[in-house]
Amino acid sequence: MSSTSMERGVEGEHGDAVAYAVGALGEAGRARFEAHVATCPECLRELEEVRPIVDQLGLSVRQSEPPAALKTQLLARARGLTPLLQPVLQPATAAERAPIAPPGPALSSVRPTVEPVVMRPPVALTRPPRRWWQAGERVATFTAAASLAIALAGSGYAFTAHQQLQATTYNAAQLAETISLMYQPDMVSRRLSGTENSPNSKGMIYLDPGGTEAVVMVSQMPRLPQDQAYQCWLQDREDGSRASAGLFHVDQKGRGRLIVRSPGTLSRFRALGVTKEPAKGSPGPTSPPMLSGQL
Amino acid sequence: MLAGDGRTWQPPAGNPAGNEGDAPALDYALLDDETLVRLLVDQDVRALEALYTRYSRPIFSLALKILGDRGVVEEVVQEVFLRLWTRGYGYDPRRGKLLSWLLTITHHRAVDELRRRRGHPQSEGLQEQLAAAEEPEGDPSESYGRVEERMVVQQALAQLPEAQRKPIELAYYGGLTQVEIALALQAPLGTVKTRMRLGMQKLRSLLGGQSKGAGLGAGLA
Repeated sequence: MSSTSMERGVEGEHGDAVAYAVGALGEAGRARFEAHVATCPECLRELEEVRPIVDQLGLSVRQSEPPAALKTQLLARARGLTPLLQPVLQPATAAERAPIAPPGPALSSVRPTVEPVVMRPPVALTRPPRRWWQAGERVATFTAAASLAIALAGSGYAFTAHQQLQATTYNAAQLAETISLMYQPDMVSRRLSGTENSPNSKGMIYLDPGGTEAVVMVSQMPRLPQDQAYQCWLQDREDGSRASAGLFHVDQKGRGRLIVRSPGTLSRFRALGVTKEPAKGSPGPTSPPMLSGQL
Repeated sequence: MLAGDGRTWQPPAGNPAGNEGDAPALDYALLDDETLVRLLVDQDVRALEALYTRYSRPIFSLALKILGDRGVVEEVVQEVFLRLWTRGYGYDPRRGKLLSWLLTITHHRAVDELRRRRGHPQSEGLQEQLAAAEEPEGDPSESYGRVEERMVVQQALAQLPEAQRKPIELAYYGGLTQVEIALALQAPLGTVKTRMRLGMQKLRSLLGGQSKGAGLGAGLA
């Protein structure tokens, strides 16, 4: 071990693996050591060796059960901290960057703990990146080559593949189609709940998971000004991306309906959300959801 | 994932479209950590609940040991699990067990809080820190086997020369930095570093095979 850091009394350099592991470095020392260990196999190996011992120190304290109410509080806070309300992605803390020793062979380098948010390569249907609820996140261009064709019931707006909002009058045919869809044999229903942004809002989606059509019905949604509309989103099960399912408005009583037609089966989606967007829609959500639910 | 509230929809009378086609319920308690983290990253709050049930006790206990103030400790524990909730994507199972990750975050958070409350290094705080090393009242329901395991570690610590044990305890449980420890013990910083390293090497030889994950598994009891 180099005696340099000891002689100089500098924290967080070569030979400080133990000090780092037991938390004996200040903030600056921690950061310095983390930068050092990324390029020092010797210190990394030492850290890997002492980490399990430090864990034992942590577990060897007398055990006390936390109060029962703590769980309730935590889960309530977590629900309020769903992707709807998460802040802009922040850099990992030193603890999260901590090179934790794996049980197996030594790592040749320390891997970052934070998965970078990457934009997906252009595809026929380009979707927004995963944590799209966060303000300031970049939104991928929505090419809409395979967009969901939407017919909007209720207040009579139709959403086309080019996301143009056209005013149409409500007619009996749309209502008949809505009812027809809802009463198909394999239809199931899922509840939609208002978020903190619109706690009183409610909704239901009626869908056949193996089919391509669904009906979304909402109530107690705040009326929007003319330059805004509600946009419905479906989240892909595999990559978490969101695809627009259409735009709609609500009436004076906050009620609205939307018929969703998907190019593929609805089983590919795992959740639905409704956001407030500009009247012509957005390629990706630009605001926290007001209504959401699992499919 | 877009959060639902998890409530089962009860259809109004006469609505034939009201059937819920839900899959059979998972027993989250039986899922391994990696699976639960994946579910948690997908914003499944039941996965968070399962991980909290599994690990809240050791996390709470460590924070309590360091901070001593139950109110502050409760907040720290919530922060640790909320950090898991919002940043669980940062956990890589190839780099270690989840409990180790949680303990590290807990320790850092608790020490940071301790240091914040302390303000600045004070050498006269040594006796206070040593007193804090006394075990607080524990949980009478703690299993005998778990008590034994703890005692093994404590006994190993006790076998260290005091000059090696104190810096480790002051750092890990007392939240002191090496510089503060050197001041408190009135020893050169280099000496403190050496003693800490030697002490950890001896602990490693005393605890031997227990260190390879077994302790983490047993820590749940």
